[in-house]
Amino acid sequence: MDDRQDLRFCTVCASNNNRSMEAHKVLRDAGYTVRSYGTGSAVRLPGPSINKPNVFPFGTPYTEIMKVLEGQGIKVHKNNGVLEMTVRNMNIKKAPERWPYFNQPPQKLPEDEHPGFQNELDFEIVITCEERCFDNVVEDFLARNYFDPMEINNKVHVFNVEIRDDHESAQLGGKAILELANNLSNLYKESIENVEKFQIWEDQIEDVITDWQEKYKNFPILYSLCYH
Amino acid sequence: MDDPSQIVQAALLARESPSYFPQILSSVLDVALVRANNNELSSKVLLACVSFIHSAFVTNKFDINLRKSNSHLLLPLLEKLLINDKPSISTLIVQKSLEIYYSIYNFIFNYLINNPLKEIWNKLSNLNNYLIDKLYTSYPLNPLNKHNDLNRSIGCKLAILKLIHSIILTQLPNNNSIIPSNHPFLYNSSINNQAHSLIDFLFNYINNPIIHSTLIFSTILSILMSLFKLKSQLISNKLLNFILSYESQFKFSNYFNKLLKNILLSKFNDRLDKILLSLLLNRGFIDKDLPLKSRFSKKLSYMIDESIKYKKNLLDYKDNLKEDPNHPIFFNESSIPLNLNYKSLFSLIDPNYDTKDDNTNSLNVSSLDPNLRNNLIIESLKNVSNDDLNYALSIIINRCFNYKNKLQEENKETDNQVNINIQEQQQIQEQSQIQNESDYQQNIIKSSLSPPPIHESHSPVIIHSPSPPPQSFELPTPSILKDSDKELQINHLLSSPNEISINYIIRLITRGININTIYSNKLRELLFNYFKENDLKQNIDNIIIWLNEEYYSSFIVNKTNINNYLIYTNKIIDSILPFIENNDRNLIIRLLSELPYLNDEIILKLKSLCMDPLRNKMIFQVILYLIMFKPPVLNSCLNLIKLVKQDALNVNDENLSNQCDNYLSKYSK
Repeated sequence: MDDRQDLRFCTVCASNNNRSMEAHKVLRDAGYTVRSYGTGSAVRLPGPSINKPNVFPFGTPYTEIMKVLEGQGIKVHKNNGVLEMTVRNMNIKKAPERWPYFNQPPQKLPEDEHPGFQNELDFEIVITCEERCFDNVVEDFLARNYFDPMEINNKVHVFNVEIRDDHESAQLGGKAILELANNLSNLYKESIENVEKFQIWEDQIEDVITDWQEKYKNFPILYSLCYH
Repeated sequence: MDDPSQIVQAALLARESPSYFPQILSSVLDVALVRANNNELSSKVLLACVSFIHSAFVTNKFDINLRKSNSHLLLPLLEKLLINDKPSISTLIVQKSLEIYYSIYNFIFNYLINNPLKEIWNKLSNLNNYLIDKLYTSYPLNPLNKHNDLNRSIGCKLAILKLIHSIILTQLPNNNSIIPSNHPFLYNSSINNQAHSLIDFLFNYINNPIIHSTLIFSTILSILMSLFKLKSQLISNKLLNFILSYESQFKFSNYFNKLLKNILLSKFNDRLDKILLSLLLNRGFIDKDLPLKSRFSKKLSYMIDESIKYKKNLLDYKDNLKEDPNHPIFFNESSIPLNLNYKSLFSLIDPNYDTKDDNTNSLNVSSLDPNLRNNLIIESLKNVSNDDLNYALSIIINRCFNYKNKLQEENKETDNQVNINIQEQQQIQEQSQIQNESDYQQNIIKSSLSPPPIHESHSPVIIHSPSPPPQSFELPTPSILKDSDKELQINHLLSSPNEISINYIIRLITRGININTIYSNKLRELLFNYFKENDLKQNIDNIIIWLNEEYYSSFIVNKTNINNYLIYTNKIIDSILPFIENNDRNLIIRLLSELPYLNDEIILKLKSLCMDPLRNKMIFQVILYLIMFKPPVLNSCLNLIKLVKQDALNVNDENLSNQCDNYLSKYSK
């Protein structure tokens, strides 16, 4: 991991549609290597009414989702921002992907859709957008440590930035996530560029988190170091 | 291979043509060892070498058989890089070396089963013990304080934890018969016991009363989850009890952390505990034990409630934080100066602390207005407790001694290095002679990758010049301060003096605070009284040191009107002469001969002893010594003898008068 010139990111929310995709876009536009997942059982989007959500299996292309939404009347989805969100997603990747839970069938795009990654967990930083997703991701890594006990060589730093699941909050949260990513990336690059420096980046991660949390009090943060 | 890019090219070649791997590895190891032996411990070439080995042995980019068969060759380099107390070593290099070590541990252990080489096993054991001991320190960084050191150099700590994991798995295999019963030094029982004790060590470490960094806490939990599967019988009870009982509010928070950081660490660690509770409950790990399951459910509900309670305002959690009653007093309590300058010697604050609002760390105290500095020091000394001041002084004294020892060690090392270089030169010359006589052609690859010869055989022998000694401390430019009305409360400095503190006080008086007469005179008086009350004769060494320092300060540096040297030399002589016995001849000779300056007034003080019939023989020997070996005081001695002769004639002491005549006739020319 220390031989890499920069960190690679993975953003995670429940449906891989709103918060994780906004963060995906923001990080990608800033030049980072990034991919994204959802930890829920399916992609859930607002439907024509509150008790009729749109549910799609992970892997359903955003173009398909768009067609369904358009079929339900543009006005409804334009007001809640879902249409705009889906158009944005279509420009980022083909379909929402499910977090690659250990020993569960993959619901993700082929690896060649993700340049810069060699496999589904080939990243150093995970940023989830909801405590529930953070718990799922950390629990999955701990379960991997149990069920695949010889494989604990790769480190992944998992963060949660709690963001409400609406279009506006996702945009604000995306900016906060970008700053966290910038701070981590600067710390990492500074550490590998200066061999003579006697403190390496892991010593300062918690200080970076603390400073970030002081600035973004409305986005409660969680953190854990995981292995796979 | 003096350029890191050559190492990268060699690495590429090794990956493309694995058959070259052993040769390339051997060359890279040679280069790395040369750098390590030359103490170039932060060089980019060494990092490139270690990175190549790291990519080969840690990231599994090479065939496992190649790694297995070559692992033991790495041990000398790893030993050199890891058993190293030099603060100049790059932390990144140490961390990578540790990662290499834990990745190859099982290979070397298995190699030893088939190749019983006791020497390698001893190295392995030494390395393990050394590294595991370092888990409670800031290794390889210089220490600061016990709270922060627990969470510094985290990358290395994580690697040491992984090493423990590796040792446990290797030495506690599922199949106990892995070591043959006739192995000369590996015995199943002792090997297993070592692994068992490491499991206990892990639990002791995670149960440390001071809260762990989340990086360390989560790493230990990952390791324990792995062991839970592989060594379930040994781990399960301990792990389940730990998860049930853990709560960060029972831990002491780090005294020097920001409040928010301490709160976040508690929150993160509790969250991990909650996730583990949930995992064990939901995945059926404890379904068979219903009472345990019920306890887990209760704890999980409690943890969820707690997290909800503090969700609205995180800072409310501060009431749960516990302060360590034995917390460190100063941030930088290291007995090793971080750098070789005065600031590092005396600074007790965080060396990295500088904020927009507070530039204390980068403040140059000597640049302050003398009055302001004076008041600052007085106020500080008034506010500090005696215990804290004594503790601070003891830290600084230890730093001085460490620095002195380090200089001595470096001088020794330099001497050794010079000797080694001479031997190497001789060997190289001998080898070149042999090569010139034969048609031997070196392997092309080997020659292109091997480290450059230290000296060309046709060049004249060049002995590596010893590295220059570290920069010596320079005395600050003395300046005169105005007297202050405020009296300094420093009596406690001599409340429990020892050799170290007396030396320190002498330096403080004559070189440190001599610019302020209030402090220095107060301390002089205290020091003099201390010597007077604690047997002047016993303290003659320190007295001589002190008066020599006073001479340097009064006559050479300051040249002030008030000559402290003469004041205290007179006082010391006045105090010691009444107690001089005949058997103290050497002592008084030593005192008078080692004092750098004697005047008439001082010499005339010997007159009382000359007139004493019991001691005059001894004191005449002293005067004779001064006449013979201290020419500047010849006239003073002759004047003294003349006065003694006059007094002897007045009291009709013929013997004494004759003795004076004898000296005068012999030396008054």
